[in-house]
Amino acid sequence: MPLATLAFTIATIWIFLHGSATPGHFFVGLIMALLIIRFLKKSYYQDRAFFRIGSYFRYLRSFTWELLIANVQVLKIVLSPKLSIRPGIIPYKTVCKTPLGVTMLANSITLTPGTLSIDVSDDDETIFVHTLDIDHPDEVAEGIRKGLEEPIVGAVE
Amino acid sequence: MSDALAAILLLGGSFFMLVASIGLIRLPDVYCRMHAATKATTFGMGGILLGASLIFQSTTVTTQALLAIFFLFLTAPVAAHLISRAAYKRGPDLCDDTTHDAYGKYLEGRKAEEESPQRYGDA
Repeated sequence: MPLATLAFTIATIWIFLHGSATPGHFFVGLIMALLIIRFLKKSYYQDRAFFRIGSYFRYLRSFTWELLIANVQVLKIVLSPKLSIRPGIIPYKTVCKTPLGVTMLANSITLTPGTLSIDVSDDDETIFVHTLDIDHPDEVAEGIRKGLEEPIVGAVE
Repeated sequence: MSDALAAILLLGGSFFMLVASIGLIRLPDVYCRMHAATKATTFGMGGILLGASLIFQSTTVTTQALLAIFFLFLTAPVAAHLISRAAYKRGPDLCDDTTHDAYGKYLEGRKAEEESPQRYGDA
């Protein structure tokens, strides 16, 4: 979002936090927003593409689905009477190029089925993924590519 | 109706928190434990917060709950990432059942490169 839109969004969130929509509160929110932006501007990744909002929702939907599966899976593993896991660390080559894309992918990997990102290589190309139950490394990579990477590439790359 | 839904969310959330705690005890090594600690707690916390916002039914509480969920999903994986990375570099070994270790190979390769830079530099 452009910075001005960001400021107004933060001010609106402030109004919701307060629960009373008076011009005064909106003004206070706006001042807060300007302060926040003033201090965090350097690390803010600016994306002017509003039309991507559809891809963001596609990412959210696919992420929520993966999150549900992940929790059922952890539930099954943890509560099964006999632990049957074959953990391991596998490399995952990513096609994400921007820092934001790699960050989102690594974070999403951690929150979804059986996988946990441990480190990213120096050239930002390989993510090392710890997996709880490996049948076949390629299957795990395929799952990440289909379920997470493609929506992320659509949303932020 | 909304009370019933809130109850389901609260109970479900607490249940997943319980699963996370059991997972912390049962799973064999740091990395596997981080799995339980990140997935189940974010999910459980999300359920509890949504349930709470359904009970209070006020804009303020709902906004706070949604923001809390947002930041939880933003920070939990980063924490897990750093803990497991630090763990790998500082000591605790992978458990005996481990089948693959690509990260170990990568670190070894990088170490070798740092110790003999001229081998790659002269080409």
